[in-house]
Amino acid sequence: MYKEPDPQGTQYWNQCLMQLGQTGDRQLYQQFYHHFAPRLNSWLLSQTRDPILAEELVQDTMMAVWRKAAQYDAAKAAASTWLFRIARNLYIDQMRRAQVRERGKAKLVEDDTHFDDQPADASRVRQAMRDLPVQQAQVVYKSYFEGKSHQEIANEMEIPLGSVKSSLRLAFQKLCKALRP
Amino acid sequence: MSINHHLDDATILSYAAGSLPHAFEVLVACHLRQCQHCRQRVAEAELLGGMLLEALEPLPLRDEASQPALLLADMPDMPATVDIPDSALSVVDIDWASGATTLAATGADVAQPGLHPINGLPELPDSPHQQPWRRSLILPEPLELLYQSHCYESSKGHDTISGHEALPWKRLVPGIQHLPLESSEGNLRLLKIAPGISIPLHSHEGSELTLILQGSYCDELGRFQAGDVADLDCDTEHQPITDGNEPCICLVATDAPLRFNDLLPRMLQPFTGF
Ligand SMILES: [Zn+2]
Repeated sequence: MYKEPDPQGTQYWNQCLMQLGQTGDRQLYQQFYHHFAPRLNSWLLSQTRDPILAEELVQDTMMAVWRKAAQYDAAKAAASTWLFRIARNLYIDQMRRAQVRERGKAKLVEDDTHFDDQPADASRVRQAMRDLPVQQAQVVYKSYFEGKSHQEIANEMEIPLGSVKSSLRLAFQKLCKALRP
Repeated sequence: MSINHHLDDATILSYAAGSLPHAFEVLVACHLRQCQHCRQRVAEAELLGGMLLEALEPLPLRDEASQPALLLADMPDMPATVDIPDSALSVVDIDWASGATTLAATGADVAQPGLHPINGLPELPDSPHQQPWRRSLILPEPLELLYQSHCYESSKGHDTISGHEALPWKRLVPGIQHLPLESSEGNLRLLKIAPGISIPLHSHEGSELTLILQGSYCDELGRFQAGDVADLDCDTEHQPITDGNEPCICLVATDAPLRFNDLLPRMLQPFTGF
């Protein structure tokens, strides 16, 4: 499930996406694509359990990258966070068959969140996931990768709802610590 | 508005992952709109999501046509860089206005700094998302009306919601009215509770999230005021009592379909003598 760290870490892809936004360089896009599209495919397949739909969502996400890279700001979010948000939003829309939204509607929340410029690294998160107790790793996996609600996880794992929540809480706190040691 | 009761980390994580039932997602989005603390927490969970994505084993795409080289041949050059106001890069983006009131709502928003429509971007007729990394959500209409009648963002800030009187409340028991809202998963409803009403001691079987929109109540966990959210563990027993002079209006999301009804006979008890 997890593989060894890419020598080109998180910061590299942040810079890559920034540069892509500034230059529109197709080769850079290819590079970004080859790194992220297969990972998105992995994630979306586990979410949708539908290989065709997963690939469609990968395409939509990568199209959005091409079109919107100019608006990416590495000071605001890691490239993988940005990508994760896009793919998640597209996935939710797909699942909910959300109505088409019009442009220019209310934008309600100002983005006052910031990306702590500490070099957050996927390899540390991977290690932290490995170090989690089995139950905590499972609830995180089912939340992030299978789109399961707390109640669905409780039913599947045959544990009380309260245990699902406390496991998620603990895992979240540990993984956050791994992000910012 | 100072917020003292926040979302549980388990709720934050699932919201960021996109795995909360719709009813809960709507409620969380409403709280996030008012709560910087929880927005920052969601951003952490999204950072985590991105890291987990990077750590995934790549799964090659099967379809040959999906190779970027082929796609790129048909792709227009990337649009030139445009300046986007910082505040437009949002974690949560809720479509507040219904179609009928779009103009008024849009006008009001444009007046806010950083919320200008973005000019110079090419139209994307095939994509509903102008800013696809922003999460957007359409609120059920009654909730929308409540927010429209209330100036949460205004610095002058009204403390009461005027629009609630116009809503088609249904009487549940004396002193308690409710209004079920549409949601595709889970139950979402508004509750309006007169001041001084005590809801009998109860615990929750499934998940239950409550966001106070107006007024306040007290229970074993403290005082809950507008903006506060009660994200209770299912084994928490509590007995809320509304206080103050105005009705307490809250938004309640639950996931067990019959749970609220199970509670009803017990809620009715003091009034009907069952
Ligand atoms: Zn909060």
